[in-house]
Amino acid sequence: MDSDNKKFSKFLTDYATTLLECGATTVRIEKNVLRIAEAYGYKSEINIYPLHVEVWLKRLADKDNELIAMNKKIQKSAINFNTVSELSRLSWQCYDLHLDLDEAIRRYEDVLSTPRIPFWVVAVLTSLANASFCRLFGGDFMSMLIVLIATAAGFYSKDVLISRYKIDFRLAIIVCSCISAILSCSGHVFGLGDTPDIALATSVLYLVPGIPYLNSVSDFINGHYISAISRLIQSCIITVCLAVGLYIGLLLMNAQVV
Amino acid sequence: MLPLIEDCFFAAVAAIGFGSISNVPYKAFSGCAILAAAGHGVRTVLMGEFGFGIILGSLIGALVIGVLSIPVSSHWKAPAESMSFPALLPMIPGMYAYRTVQALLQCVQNDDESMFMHYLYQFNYNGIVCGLVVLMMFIGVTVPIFCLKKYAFSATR
Repeated sequence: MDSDNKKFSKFLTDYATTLLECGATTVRIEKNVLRIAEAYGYKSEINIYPLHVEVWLKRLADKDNELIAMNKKIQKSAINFNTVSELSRLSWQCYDLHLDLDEAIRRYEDVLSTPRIPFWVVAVLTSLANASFCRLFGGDFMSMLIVLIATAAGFYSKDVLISRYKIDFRLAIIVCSCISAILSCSGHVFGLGDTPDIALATSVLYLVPGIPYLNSVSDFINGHYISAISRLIQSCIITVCLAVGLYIGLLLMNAQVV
Repeated sequence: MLPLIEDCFFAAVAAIGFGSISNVPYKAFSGCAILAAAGHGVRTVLMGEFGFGIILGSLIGALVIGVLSIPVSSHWKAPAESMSFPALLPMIPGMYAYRTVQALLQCVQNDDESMFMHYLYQFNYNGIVCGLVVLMMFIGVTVPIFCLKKYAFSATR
C-alpha cells in the first residue's frame, strides 16, 4: 500500500467513523463516503458494525485491482448535527471543487475542532423545551415551572455524573430520571398547581433518545439492519433506564398515582 | 385543546430545546422551529377540528414535517434530518408513555385480581397507543427523505 492510498484510506475511515459517532444515518454516511471516494478516483464500499466502521477502497486507475481495507473503532458517540452538516458540505466540496487531499484533511480537522453550543445555553433551552412540552400536554403554569426546575436539575446532574465523575451513562440516566421525578412530585406533595400528574409525566422526557430511535428507523428503511438493530437496542436501554428512574422516584415518594 | 397559535409556539420552543441537545447548526434552529410548529399545528387541527385519532394525526403531522424538511433544508443548506428529527420530538406521546409506567406500577402494587386486570388493561392500552404513535411518527418523517433522495442529500452542496 503506497503512502497516498494509506493516507486517503485513513482519512476516509476517520471521516465515516466521525459521522457515525455524531449520529448520521447510514444512508448519509454511505452517500458521503462514496462521493469523496469518487472525487479522488476510488471505488469504495463501507461496512457499518455496532462498534466498528470498515472501509474498502479500490483505485480505479490501478490495473492490478489492489483492495485497501481499513477499520476503526467507534470511540465516543454524541449526537452533533453541526458536524454532520459540515462534513456533508465537505464531501460536496471534495466532489465539486476537487480539493487537494491535504486541504480536505485540514478542513476535516477544522470541523472537528468546532466547539459545541455552550452547556449553560443547552441547559436553559432544554429546560424551556420540557416546560413547553408540559404545556402541550395541557399542564398549567405552575406545572411548567416545576418541570423547568426538575429538568434543569436533572440535566445538570447528568452532565456532572457523566463528564466529571465518569459514571456509566445508563446509571447516570437512572439517577437523573429519579432526581427529576422526585422534584416534580412536589406538585403532588405540596398541592402546587392543578395538573401535578402532567408535571410528573413530562419531567423525564428530556432524556428520551429520540434521535437514535429515528436513526434506527431510517437505517431499517435503508436495509442496514445490523446498524438499525444496534441503535434500536441502545435506545431501548436508555428508555428502560429512564423508566426505571421514574419508577424508583415514584416509589420513593410513595406517590398516590391514580 | 389549546389555541392553535399557542400550540405552535410551544412546539417550536420544544424543538429548539431538543435541537440544542443535538447541537444543530445555529442557522438551522429557525428551520427546526418552523417545521415543529407546522407538524404539531397540523396534528392539533386534525385532532381538534376533524376528529382524527392521535395515531393517524401523528402520521400526517410527521409526513408534513418530512415533506417540508426538504425545501427548508435546501434553503438553510443543512441536512434535512438535522431539522426534521428535532422538530418531530414535540409530538412524542409523553402522557401515554407515563400512563404505561404508572399502570405497571399499579399492577405490581395490587394483588386483587380485578384491580390487577384493570391496570394490566391500562398498561396494554397506553403502551400500544404510545408505540403505534411513535412508529407512525418515525415512519412519516423518514419516508419522504427516502422518496426525495435526490433533493434531500444535496442540500449541503
